[in-house]
Amino acid sequence: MREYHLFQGVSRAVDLCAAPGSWSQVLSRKLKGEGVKNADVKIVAVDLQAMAPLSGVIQIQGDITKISTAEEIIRHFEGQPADLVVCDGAPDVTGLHDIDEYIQAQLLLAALNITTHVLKKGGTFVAKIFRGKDVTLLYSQLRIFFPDVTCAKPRSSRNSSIEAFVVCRNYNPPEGYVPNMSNPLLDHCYDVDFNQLEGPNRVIVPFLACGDLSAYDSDRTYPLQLDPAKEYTYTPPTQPPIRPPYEEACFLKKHNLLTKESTPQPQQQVTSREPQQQEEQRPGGLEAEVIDALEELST
Amino acid sequence: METELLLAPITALEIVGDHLLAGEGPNLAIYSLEPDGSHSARCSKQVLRNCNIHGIKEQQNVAPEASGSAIVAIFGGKNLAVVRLSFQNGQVNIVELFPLCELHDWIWDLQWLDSKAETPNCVALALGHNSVALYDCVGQRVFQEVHCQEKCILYSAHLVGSNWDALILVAGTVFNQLVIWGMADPPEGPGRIKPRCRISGHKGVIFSICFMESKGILASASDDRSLRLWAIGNIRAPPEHIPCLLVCYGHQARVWSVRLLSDCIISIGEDSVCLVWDYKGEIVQSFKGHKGRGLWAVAVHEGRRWVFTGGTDSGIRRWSLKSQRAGGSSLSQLNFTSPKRKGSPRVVKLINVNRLLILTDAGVLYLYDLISKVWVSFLEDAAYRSYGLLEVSEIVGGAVVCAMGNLSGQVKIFPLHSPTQSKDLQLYEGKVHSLSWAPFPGQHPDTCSLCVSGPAGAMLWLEVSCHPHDEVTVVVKQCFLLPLCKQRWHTCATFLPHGELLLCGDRRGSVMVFACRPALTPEEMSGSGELDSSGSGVICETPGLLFPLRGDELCADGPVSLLFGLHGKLGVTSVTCHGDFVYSMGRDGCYRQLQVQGHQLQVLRKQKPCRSLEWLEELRFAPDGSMRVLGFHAAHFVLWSARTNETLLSIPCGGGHRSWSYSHCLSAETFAYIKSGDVLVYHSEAIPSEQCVLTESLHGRELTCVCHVATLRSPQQEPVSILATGSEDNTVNILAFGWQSRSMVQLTMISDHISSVRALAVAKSKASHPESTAAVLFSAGGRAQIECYRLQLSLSCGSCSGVSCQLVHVASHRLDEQWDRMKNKHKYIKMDPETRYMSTVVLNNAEDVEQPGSLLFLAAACSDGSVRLFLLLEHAQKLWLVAESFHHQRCVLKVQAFVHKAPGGKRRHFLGSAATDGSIAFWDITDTLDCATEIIRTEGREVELLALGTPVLTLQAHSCGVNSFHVQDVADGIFSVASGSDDGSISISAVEVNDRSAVSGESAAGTGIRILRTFSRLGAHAAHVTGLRLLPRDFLLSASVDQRLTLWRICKGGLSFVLSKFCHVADVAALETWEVDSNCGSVICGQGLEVLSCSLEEQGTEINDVV
Repeated sequence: MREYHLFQGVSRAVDLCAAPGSWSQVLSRKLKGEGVKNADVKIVAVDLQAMAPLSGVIQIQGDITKISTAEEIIRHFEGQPADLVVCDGAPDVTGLHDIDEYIQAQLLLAALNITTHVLKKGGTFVAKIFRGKDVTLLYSQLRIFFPDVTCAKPRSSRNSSIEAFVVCRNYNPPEGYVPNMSNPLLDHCYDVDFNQLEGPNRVIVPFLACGDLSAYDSDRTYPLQLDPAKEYTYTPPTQPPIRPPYEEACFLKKHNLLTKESTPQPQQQVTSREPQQQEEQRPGGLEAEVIDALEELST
Repeated sequence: METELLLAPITALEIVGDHLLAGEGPNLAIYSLEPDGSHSARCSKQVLRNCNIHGIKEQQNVAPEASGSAIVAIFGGKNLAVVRLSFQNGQVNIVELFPLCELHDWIWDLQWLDSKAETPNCVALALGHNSVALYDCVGQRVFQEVHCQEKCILYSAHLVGSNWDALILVAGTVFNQLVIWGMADPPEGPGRIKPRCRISGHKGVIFSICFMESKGILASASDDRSLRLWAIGNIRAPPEHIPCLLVCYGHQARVWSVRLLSDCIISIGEDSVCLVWDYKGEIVQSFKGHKGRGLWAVAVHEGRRWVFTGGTDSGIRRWSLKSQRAGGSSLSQLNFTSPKRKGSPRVVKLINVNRLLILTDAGVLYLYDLISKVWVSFLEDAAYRSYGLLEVSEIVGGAVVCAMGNLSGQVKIFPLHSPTQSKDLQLYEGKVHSLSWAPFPGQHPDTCSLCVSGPAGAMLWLEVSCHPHDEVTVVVKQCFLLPLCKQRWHTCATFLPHGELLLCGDRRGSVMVFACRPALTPEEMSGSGELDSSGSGVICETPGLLFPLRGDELCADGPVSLLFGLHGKLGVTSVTCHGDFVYSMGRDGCYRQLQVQGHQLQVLRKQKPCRSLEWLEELRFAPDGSMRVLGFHAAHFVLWSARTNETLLSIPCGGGHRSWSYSHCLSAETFAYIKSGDVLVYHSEAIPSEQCVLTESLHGRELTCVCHVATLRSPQQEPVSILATGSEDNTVNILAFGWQSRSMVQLTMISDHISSVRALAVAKSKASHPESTAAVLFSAGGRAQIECYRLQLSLSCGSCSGVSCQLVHVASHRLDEQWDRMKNKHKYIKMDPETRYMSTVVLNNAEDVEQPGSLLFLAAACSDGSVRLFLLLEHAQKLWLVAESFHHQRCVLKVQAFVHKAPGGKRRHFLGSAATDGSIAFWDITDTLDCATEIIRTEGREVELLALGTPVLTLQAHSCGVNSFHVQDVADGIFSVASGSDDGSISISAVEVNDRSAVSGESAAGTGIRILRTFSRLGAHAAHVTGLRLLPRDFLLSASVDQRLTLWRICKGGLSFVLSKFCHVADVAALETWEVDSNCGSVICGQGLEVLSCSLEEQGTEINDVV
């Protein structure tokens, strides 16, 4: 993201949907500099879930669709608006692209809505975006608030990935726009002139591939032993998910406790050659209940 | 540009009357559920514009005069359509009733409201941000929209009620809660309605909600992989605390949908399984059969007890719910051990579904009848103690013959109806290792052939005749010698249809054929000797055999063709003839399709029908050609349907080493086995009803590549295009698309890949015949695997697709083959990269594919940063790596090849390769090809790895990865190069190959190619351009992940836009085009497949007008 000079002159930054906190870490390092403490820089991280504490990052556990969250952010900045708002949140994808793209767009619009409450005029908004079938609708929406919208994809992101970032600069809401959190911002619809469904006129923003070409290529397969002098060691992922929804299901699966369809079990068969034991048939559970109930009624 | 066919995930299913309505992308497909069982799609129509159908709701209580028709609302995304379906004389008509409506927010649910005079056609719409809109279809407007206080986004919503004033919404929020609120409740605060209640408990978002008014039960399905039932009672007055009745964990992944029925609960999930639960939380039935990742839609016809499911694989299937009175099948223990019976059971054989034979270790043979439950002991022979073989066969004439073999080389043959008439033969000096009955083609109906293996690999072919009133006669026809190995006996045998050859499988895994000697004439017969001096009447037709046979001086015939160890050390289990082919099964989990040509066995294909079946025992063909496989999965006996990809029967018998027997008839099936000294019998009076496939599965996961193989032409001049598709699900499908019928039929599936298939390349036959053709197909992908096949395609009236497709596996290649062969590999870490092949191209040789011994070169783009060149020697079944270069140092995404013909007739071969950094390199590979060809031709050995040298030209076409690439010969040594990128741009270059340098200086080849002009169109698409094809007359077609297919024309100054079409395949991965009837046929693949046609003629005139 160096190409954008995103961090130049930024002293108040907001990280929305921050958990587990990687962007906050980057912001903290970039804005405060390694080792040097810059007292003017403030970073506020917001998420619904609790995060592990990060040094130099103020954390708010809150809902980005609530006005109270916006107010709390401003409070931390002592009444000043933010210079930069970042939203790297993404939903768990279902695999149906239309639903996934819609949910991601709503997340971005919710982030944009709270951003209009906290961002200074001329400020920057960076958010994760899925480049799918209706991405031009989001671009046209963002253009209303930001004259300068570009799409950026880090080289560390895989070539085939639909994930990218929109970098919106120079925040400039339409004249007379009053930030309003009581209703969600909805995405645009296709129109016949400027953003057509099937025509030549579509809102497509400039694209920038960012990052260093000499860095590792995420699409390339490398040998495990990159350095012949060093032996390969396994490194676990830095931040495993905290309490994922499937935790209990995985526990049950691991211990073979998921409900299974019953398989046929052998029954003892009494052959006619052997004397058949005449046993009174016990009524089944359901019938027993009915009989009990009838008896109760009759008394 | 017109869509001819769309295969997309099935996202909605609904029963309307006697029809099934399915949402496939924006299309509504209607299937008749008439009892004739044909269930073919009656009609299909696009009803939504740029959204997929997620819900279908029929308007109830329509006026009585409207019988034979139905009004149906169809919604998905922000689109809403209302159509009238009319059913007349078996025809269905879909008519748009009101114009398509685009809402301002996502529609999660829809409910028809009771018609009132002033508002006849109103629906309530549950929208994405927890609001409900009252929409008037006639007036095309939203009357009213009410919002809930909980204003987050929803993942699901369920409307209850049919009257606005009493309407309730159950909303599944992003915060894992169910929120229940009423439309008519007075708003509080800033015009928002307070929820009547909230239900917490799920640990993930809620994907589906169902409410059953009669039981007062609410069901929810969630990201946490559970489904939960809540005792809500009256939903209009929910209690303070809502008790959770059931928490059901049974799916292996997320649960997408749940339905409540009167006696069961149905759920579908990401694991592609449909589970049927009872209200106690037990799984009553599970339906597995769909391929891949997930079922999205389920519908139930309660009257017929049918469940329909549809999913990612774009298939629709029908299943039957068990009837309330379950039964008809039982697994029972026969309690063999009794003072009245001798010994303990050793061998069990079913005579038919109701009768079985047991041989005990006391040498006693018992017959048991499943109906009368009576044991009959009818034969006892001490010679068959402790070791005895038993095989039974029902011969054509109706009699049942039994054969037994023992440790001392004796064989006893007798008809079941009179065991006393047994023939006892002393065939060998040692142990009889195996026995098998095999019907001989054209044999007398009272005759059957028996193969008997003895010591030292001697196998006798006996002909047994068993006339109902005569005694048994046995003729020794021939003696064969099995190939040398440790366990040298046959395991299965069958005669080929003409009776000239005997096909055998042995314990060592070898498959072989023996030549059968023709039957002797009566004169010759007179000279043949008797088996022994006892005057038993056993005739030996083979002179020189002295019984009992001794291993050392055997006069026997060896196999005329042998495939040694084909099925590995665990052995061959059965051999079958079907059609023109031979099939062999083994304990390696695979079956082979073989062909016998001129007495020689040839393997065509190897297939693993089911991943979990480690042992295959038998293959059974149904009259319709579909296959059923008998085998073992761990300790279970499994009956598997290859057609529906489904386990029909699974019995925990303890494994395949025990004695077992399976028999079936039209109305029943029986499986018997011996376990812990007793006989167990599974008997079912109803053959497991296979699911019904309404729409075939395409692929289980995303399609990654598609290529056009050929277009055939029927005698009626209908073009039929043959396509190959590769997928993340590790398979390749060969499909036939009929342009007039607009139908796609799967011809065959290739499942040899161990990882995803990413690239396909085809070498087409030059000698094209409209009704038949041949091609060589290469498929490549993950784990550095390339497979190569020969396809023989021809039109045939017999098959349902109208095309017959024969596939022969030619060769394979793995870069890391040494690793695969390494022992104890779990002890090491694999250092080599798991290279993926990203793209492949067949080099355009002068040679023809039809020509035997031709050489084919294949170039591959590799993820480890290299460009590799392979050589196929088809006759030797070898694919060799001949050259590579790591020039790119980045993942290479695409390769293209082109040939320049210099005036002298010399051909120069060029290769273009494009990488993730946006660069394209051009290589002159003529010398490399010549060198490799020379070595192969003269020395016939594998070429040592050659270097590709350095590119003759590089072009920085894009700022990031090149996702699509096409090169086309324009004229006079000029080539058009088109590429599309991750950044949404398209770049076009004209490249010239200089004749002079190409002819004169081979060494200075680098100077032979230059760029004439180049230009880029930034922002051509809003996402990756993943498909790009140069078409005739300067047209260019591009496809992108933004789901637009755009036609451009290349002009002097750049690209001019011609037209664009929204396409319904998400995550488009590839585009392919070809010429059909002077039109441009095209296909895109991704999350589905869409075939389109485009007339360039029409476009041409328009553009000329503009210019």
